[in-house]
Parts: sequence; structure tokens; C-alpha cells
Amino acid sequence: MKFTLSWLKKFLLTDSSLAEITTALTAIGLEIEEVIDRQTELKPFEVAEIITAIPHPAADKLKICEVKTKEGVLQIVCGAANARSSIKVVLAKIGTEIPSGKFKIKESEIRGVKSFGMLCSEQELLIGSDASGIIELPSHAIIGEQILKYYGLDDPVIHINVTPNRGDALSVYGIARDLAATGLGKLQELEISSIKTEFNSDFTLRVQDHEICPLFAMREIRGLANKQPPEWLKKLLKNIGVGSISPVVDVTNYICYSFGQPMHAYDADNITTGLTIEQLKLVADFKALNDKEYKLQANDLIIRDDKEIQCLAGIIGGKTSSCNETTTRILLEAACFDATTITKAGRQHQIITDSRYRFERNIDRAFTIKALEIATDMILSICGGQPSPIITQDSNEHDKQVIEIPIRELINNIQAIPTLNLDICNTILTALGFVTTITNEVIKITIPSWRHDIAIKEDIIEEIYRIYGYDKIVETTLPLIATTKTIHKEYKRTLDTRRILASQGYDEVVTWSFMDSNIVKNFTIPQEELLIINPISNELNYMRPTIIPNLLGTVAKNIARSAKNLALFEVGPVFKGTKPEEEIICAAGVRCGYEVAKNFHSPLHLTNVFDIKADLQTILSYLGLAIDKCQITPINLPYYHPTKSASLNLGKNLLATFGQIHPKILTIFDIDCEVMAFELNFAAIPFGKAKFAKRDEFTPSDFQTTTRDYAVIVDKNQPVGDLLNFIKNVDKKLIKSVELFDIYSGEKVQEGFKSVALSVQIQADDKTLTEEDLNQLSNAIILGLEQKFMAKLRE
Amino acid sequence: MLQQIFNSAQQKITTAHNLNELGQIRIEFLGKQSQLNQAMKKLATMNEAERKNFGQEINLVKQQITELLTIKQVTLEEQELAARFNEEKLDLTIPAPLKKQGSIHPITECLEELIQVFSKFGFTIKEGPNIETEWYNFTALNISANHPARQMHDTFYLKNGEVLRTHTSPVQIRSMQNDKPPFRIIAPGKVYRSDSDLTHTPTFHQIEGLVVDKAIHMGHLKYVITEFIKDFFEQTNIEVRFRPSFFPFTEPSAEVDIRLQGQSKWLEVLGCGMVHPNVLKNVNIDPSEYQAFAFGLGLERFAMLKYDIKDLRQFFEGDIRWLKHYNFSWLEIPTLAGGLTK
Repeated sequence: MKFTLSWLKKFLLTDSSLAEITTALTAIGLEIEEVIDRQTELKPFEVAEIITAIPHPAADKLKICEVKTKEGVLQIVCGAANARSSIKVVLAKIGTEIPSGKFKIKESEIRGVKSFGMLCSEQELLIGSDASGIIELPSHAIIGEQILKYYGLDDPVIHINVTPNRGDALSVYGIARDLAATGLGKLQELEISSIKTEFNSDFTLRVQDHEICPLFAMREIRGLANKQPPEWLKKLLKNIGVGSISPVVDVTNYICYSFGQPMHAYDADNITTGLTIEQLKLVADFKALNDKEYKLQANDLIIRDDKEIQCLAGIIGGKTSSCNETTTRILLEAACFDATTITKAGRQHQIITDSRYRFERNIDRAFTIKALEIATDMILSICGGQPSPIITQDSNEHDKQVIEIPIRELINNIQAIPTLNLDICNTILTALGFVTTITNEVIKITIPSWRHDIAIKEDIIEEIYRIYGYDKIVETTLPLIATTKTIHKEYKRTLDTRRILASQGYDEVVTWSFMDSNIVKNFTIPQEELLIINPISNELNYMRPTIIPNLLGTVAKNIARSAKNLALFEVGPVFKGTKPEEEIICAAGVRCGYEVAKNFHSPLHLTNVFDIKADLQTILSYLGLAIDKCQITPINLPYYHPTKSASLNLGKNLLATFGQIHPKILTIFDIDCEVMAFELNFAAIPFGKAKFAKRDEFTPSDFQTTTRDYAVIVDKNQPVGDLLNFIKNVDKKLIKSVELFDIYSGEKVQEGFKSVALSVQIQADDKTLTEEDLNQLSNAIILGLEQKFMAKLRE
Repeated sequence: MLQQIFNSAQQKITTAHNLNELGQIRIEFLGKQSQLNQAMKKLATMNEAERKNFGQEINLVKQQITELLTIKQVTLEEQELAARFNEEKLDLTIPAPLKKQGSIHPITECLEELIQVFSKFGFTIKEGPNIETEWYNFTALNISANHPARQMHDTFYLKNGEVLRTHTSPVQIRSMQNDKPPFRIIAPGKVYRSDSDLTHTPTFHQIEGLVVDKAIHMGHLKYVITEFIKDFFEQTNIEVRFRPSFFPFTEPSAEVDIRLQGQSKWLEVLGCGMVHPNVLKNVNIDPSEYQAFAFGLGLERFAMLKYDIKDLRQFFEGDIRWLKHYNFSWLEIPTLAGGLTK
């Protein structure tokens, strides 16, 4: 909502400064978006007159002008094509700063001719875009006067943001009322002069549905003279960015911005019989006054005469009956329409008008007739003419809404501002137009017709706080509450895991929760229900079933920028379906390239699957789960390398997947190096039993440790992890650890087999083991390996 | 003879080149086969006076040789160590092999800072789904069917009519349905708006706050907001301004602006208000018994303000150069006790 200071002061009697007014506006919830006040900047520019303009002897395009100013005649060299004698121009004297470019005018010499100032274009003063020549002021402009008023720039423009609940503040009068309530000034009472009617109009009016159009009023005015709108009106509208069209249209616009009542004027010569307001039954074509064609739909509310649709009610008028400077007879409309109906049609046809904007937010129905009277008065005073009486269809007015609040409750509800009392509340409400009656126990508040946003006690409290000032609310500490942990244990894991991964060299990224449904196909079978029907783009139209594709996308982008050694992770949701329980919080990571860049100390190590397995193991170990408690089995996921990937299960629960990314997937992402990845589902990982960091007792054994090494030959496809797990379980008490130190297949081993070298550490907690004890255990290990894995001890 | 032995020993010890040689010399002069040891054997054949005299002489020579050996030993050890050091000399201007350091995204860092700050007031974390029903996202929050937010150009809709939550406020509804008041919750998470330009991304992060208790009013709201903002920005002279605004789910509603020290511009940072009685009724909380206030803030906005990050879109780009510049060390864990930042 835009208005000017002088416009506001038509309705608000105040001595307050612009700064005081703008501060107050923000404080009462009418937030200042922008204040354009060019008075200071443009003050030094004066009216002057070119007496003579002769060509510069040394430059074709320059002219030497003798310029008459308040302080005498100045010589100014000017390059404008329109510089000529006897025109009134805008003078920038020496020392004046030019708004565009912010430079100061100095005495200068241009090709040997001295120049003592500058004549300005609209563009140089930033008051228009015309840079083709200097400004030509009206011939009656007075030399030496400031140019501000010729452009209406002596009137600061105020732009406020009005929240959608405040339809009443979409009018200068409504804003003045709010400001007056704060004590900043006095609201001007409106004097509505009665219109002397001169004939009875023959036009008829029929309103089909009083729910959708509760009030429709119109009047015919004949004999309008072809006149110009007054300067003050043109200037006000120009300042808020509205062009002047004709006296009638300018007046309807003025009423709309001043009082929030949209109006429409029909050229009555193009209206047959009268107006009917009804909902369309069938689709119909409509040419609006913006010259666009619309396909109106059934149920759109329209206004028609006997021949055609003349208006899309409350939104935009029709081309046929639109007014122009030749119009001499009009039908002037002021009406009230249902907000929902207008909203629907406005959205449907995507027409944004000031009228629609106000009807959508509800207008003051009690003001509609007044607006028609004020507008008539203004039109008559500009163009003359003869008005008819108002023709109206008015459903019975709704009962005025009343809120009753027990005084005790009201007092109880204004505790946040201790200085407030019933008297102040009452004063504020009255100033806002509420009618109050106070009895011993209850305050009865009648809501004014323009406040559609007030329905309950809390709304009243907000009005009181808003006008009295949120700055007066006194901070109050919260009551005591039993302390609980802010971060619950499920959430803590997701935070801790991020820091573990970062400690392992991963950089955290945050990507979108969506991805491309075309790429999804390569990862899983897409589900219809996870498609976004109105995505930002087709690359972001599917809720991601895994984080890995987004990470691969990020890898690809970085590789394209020559960053090739990467470790990236993200923690966030993935979606298996649309139900809350199908949303899973995962951690996913990718690695590619070298872990440590080329250096003097060690050979390059290209990231491999075991690096990513180690990362996963580090997380699980922190979360209290030893990886050898899990089952590591091959998985059949289309995005992993089929023989270099695995899943990590605990019983039936899939905890994580890890492996090398399938080369075909890499091709899709245009990645030309191997990428390792993992993804882990937090919810599947059990919580450790330890509580409050309690530990088992520390019982070190000082008895001798023996290490026995074994080299066994097993089938090439025999998973080594199984051998290790088996040996550990031969005697859990005595076997402290089993380490793998070599796998060999080659000349010395039969084809189809491999040699696995293991080191077993044996120690008892209660004695030193004898040779016999050790042999017994060793035999059990060997026998077991032979029986279970068909292993042969290597000679 | 003893003098001869000593002279010979002294000469050999003096010219010994290394510890090995010195060991040989020790054996030669003090070992079992040494002349001195042989001489000792003669003692048995001597009378007592001779024996005493000769014995003392031998011991004296032994002692002198031992002393010479010890001194030489120390000297040779020093020399050998010096030689080894010379051999082992390293050029320490050579760059060390650095372990790759990972990092934490500013959104996570900012989230953890805010969690710490809110922990002071007894808030606990609640979460809710990203895919919501219209009821939780709009209806229960008093957002009418006609509200502009429900239009397709603002909200992402899924095939079966679910929405991607446009704010973290539905977590309020879920919490109030499940828990008995009084309670204080914060709900961090991703939110989605169908908007993408220089200053908007289709996903961003919010933290929702909700306090439900008896006799709660706007003074409490103002206290929590003012305190947490000062705590978060680690500035006590930050200015906080409350101005009336409108949200369907709060009444009265406020928008909060801050002005950082030394700046002239007010910056809008969050929306808040007293929870609308219709919202409380929707979750069967009696508004005459319990009151509530709520607030919602954008994590990216707070991160940008505190860490001086200019471009919102870069948060989601994953550009490693940006990450190296703006991400945090994994050791920078914000705490109340140790300060939020270094």
C-alpha cells in the first residue's frame, strides 16, 4: 500500500514529522517497506530560463546558453538537442550534487568556453527515464523557485506492508485512523455533502444472489463535460505510480485508495437497459478493459447488460463500456462482493487489480454508499453534469458483532504490560472505532464494520497491545520446569555421527530432499506417491529414496571443478513411502580419489572399499555395536558394484550398505573415477546397554600371552570373515584376538584355492597355559577349520 | 713388568677407534687370559709379604686400566652418538604429511548452537515428518482453505495430496496431541516452499519453538526471544524489536527485528506469537486453562547473520571450495559452558 504524506494529512490532523509517522506505522504493525523522500536531495534545483542558445564554435553538438537565474545571468555550455531560447529549465548551480552519479557541479571550461552550472534531464535527477534532452518546465514556472513542487516531489511517498488480515488498512483513511489511535494526531471527520439529484435514471438493476453480492449501488450521471482532472489529483496518483486517465477514472481510483472502496464507472451510452449481477452458468468470452480476452467459467460472478458481460465483478471492467475522455454519461458503481468468490475468480484468471486485492480482504460495507456520494460530488465538481438518485439492491445488513469480555479476564490478559489498565484499553478501542459499554463486570465491545479480522478476545488483546506498543511488554522469566535432556538419544546419535565422519576426513554437505525421477529408476523402482506434482524443475521432482544419488551429483560437480579427492557426507531423511514411519533418517557418505594428496612421505593410496568399511565400523563402534556382531552379506542393489558391495545386517535389520558404486551409475553422473559409498539407517542400530557411562570391572590378566600363526588353504570364494569369527568362537575366554595378516593365491597354491594366514592370540585370565593346553586349543582350531571350511593346514 | 703392561694398555686404549676395539682391549688386559690375571695366579706361590705387596700393585694397575677404559668408553660413546646424529639429520622444512580434516556444515553448526541456547530454558527436541497431511500443515494451524499459502505456487504437493511441510509448525500439533502440558519443545528440521531465486531455495531449515503452560503471556515470549537472541549472537548490546504482525496460528502475533551493534538497519529474524485458541482447541487443550506461545526461525538466516555468509544458494551446492571456507572444524562443538564459538 502506497500513499503520500499530504494524502495522509488530508485525514490525519497532525504536527508529527515524517520520521515520527513512519516509526509509528511500523510500531502498530503497518510495517514500512520504503519511504521515498526526495525533498532534501532535490531542494537545490531551481527554475531558470534560457535567454539565448548559440552553437559552440568548437563543437557541433554543444550550445552556449545565456541562462536567466534568480541571481543573474549565467553562461552554461549544454549538449542537449532541445536547448533553445525561451524555455524554462532546471538549473544545477555550482556546488550542487547531481542525484544520478552523485557528482558535484564545478565551474569548468568546455573546449575553451567557460560553463557555470548545468541544465538537467529527468534521468539526471532520477525523476524519470528520459535522458534525451533537458527538462522543459511549464512556461508559467517562476524563475528561482524550487522545482520540487512542479514534480509533486515535495510530497514524500510512504510504502507499507499490510498483513492480509488488515483490509481496513488498504485505505489512507484507515491508516489515519490507526495512527490517530496511537495519539499521533486527530482523525478528520468526513463531511459527506448530500447530492442534489436531477432526474430518475431509466437503468434497471437486478442482483441475483444476495449472498455473493450483498450490496450493489449505482447512479447515472449525465452531461459530463470533457475536462482535465485537477493537478492535485493527478500528482497524488502519479506519486503512487498510478497514471491519470480521465476525471471519472481518476476519482474512482482516488476513492479506492482513500477509503478502500473499489468503484467502477461504465460508459452509460454503451449499456443497454440496465445491469444484472449474476453467476455465469456457462463458459463465456470476455474482453476486459486491459484489452485482454478471458474465458470466464461457470460460477464466475459477472455484471452484464442486456447484450453482453460488462464487468468481471469486483475484479475488472469490460472493454465495451470502459470510460475515456469522450465519455459524457456514466453509470457509477459502488458495491460489495463476497471475498471468496472474488479470490477464486482472480486466481483462476490471474488478474491482479487493486479492486480484487481489496475485495479479497473484505471491504467496509457500511461505507459503500458514502463512497458513491463522495465520488459523485467530486465528479460533479470537476466535470459538472446531472446525477440521478442512487439505485440500490441491499440485503439486510448483518448484525453487528459483539464481544463480551469479563473485566477480570481482560485485566488478566493484559498482564504482559503492567502499565495498562481498563481506562487505557477503553480509550484505545474507542479510538479504533470499537463501541464499548462497561458495566461492573463486563466490557461489551461492538466491532466496527471495517474490522473483519476481529472475532475473539485474543484479537482485542492484540489491538490493545498493538496500539499501546509492543515495546512496552515487560520481559518475564519462565516458570520453573522439571529439567529434561534437550537432546534425546536418537537425535544425539545423528549429531555425533556427523562429527565422527568429519573426524575421519569427510566434509558435510546438505543437499535437496528431492531428486530426478528419471535418475531414481537406476536406484530403485519409483513409486507414484513420491512424485511431486508441482516441482521447481523436473530434476527435483521425486522424494529421494537414498541420499547417495545426491552425493554423487555433488561429487560430479566438484570433479568438474577439478576437485578430485573427495570425502562427503550428509545426514538427513530418505523416503520409502509417504507415511511418517516410512521416512528414515540416514547418514550417507562417499569417497573418491586419494585420501592424502601426492606427497613426499608415502605412496599414494587410492580410496577403496575397505576405507569406507572402516568409516562405517568407526561409527558403529561409537554407537556401541561391534561390527563382528553383524552379518556382512552381498547385496543386490543396482547402484553398487555387484561383487564389491555388501549389506550389514543385525538379524533381520538392515543397518547399512556399503561398497563401490556401479560403473554404469558413474556413467550417468559423468564421473570418471571409482567412488565408494555407504548409507546407514540410524533407527536400525540398537542402543548399547551401558547407561550413564558405567563400565564393566577392569580385570587385566598378567599371565603369559602366546601367539600362534596358522596358514590354511581354503576355497577361493570362502569369506575370510567367517574363518575369523569361527576361530574367535572356538574358545571365547582363551582367544583374545584373531588377526588376518596375509591372503595369497598364486603359484604355490592350487588353482581355485587361496592361502589365508592368521595370527591367534591366546591368554588365560587365571593361569599360565601349559604346552599341553595350547596344543589342545590349537588342535581344536585346526580340526574345526578342516571340518567346517574344508581347510588344509599349509605345510 | 706391571709397568710395561700398563704402558701397553694405555697406548692401546688411547688409540682405540671404536667401542668394539675397546671391548677387545678390555678382554686383553682385564680378561681371564690377560697377563694381569696370569700374574694374579703367581700370588699363591709367594710369601705373605710379597703377596701383599705384589697384590696391591696388580690391583692398582687394574684399577688404572679400568679407569682409562671408562673414560675412553664415554668418549667413544659420545663420538658414535654424534656420528649417528649426523647421519640421521633431517630437513624439517619439508612439509609434514597432513591427515585430511573433515568439516561440519554451517547449518549443523548453527543448529547445535541454537540447541545449546534453548537448552537453557528447558526446551527439548521434537521431530516430525517432512511429508505432512494438509490437516497438520494447514488446517490444524488455523490456516483456512482459502489462504494463499495453500496455493500450488507456494506449497509442494505429492501425488496423493500430501504436502511437503511448509514450516516446522506441524510438529507443534503432533507434540500437543501426544504430550500432556506443560511442556517446552523445539522442533528443528527441513521445510519446503515452491520458490527458487537468489534469496529463496526450495528447501531450507527452521526451528520451531513452543511453550505450553499455565498463565503464560507475551512477557514470557519476549523474555525467551530476547535472551536467546543475545545468547546466540554472543552480544549483550544487540537491540531486539517486537512489532505487530499476522500469522493465522498466533494471536497476538509479532515479528522480531534485531539491530546488531554498530549497524543502522533493522533485520527481520523471526515470527512469533501467542498460540491461537483455535489451534489449542484443535488439539484438545483448553485455552482457558493453558496458554502457549510459539516462534519459528530460519536456520540459514541466523547462520548467514552470525557467520557473515552472503549467498544462500551456496549452502546447498556442496562446492568443496565453499565448504572449506565456511564449514567448521569437527572439534568446534558449541557448549554453554565453553561458549558457542571459538
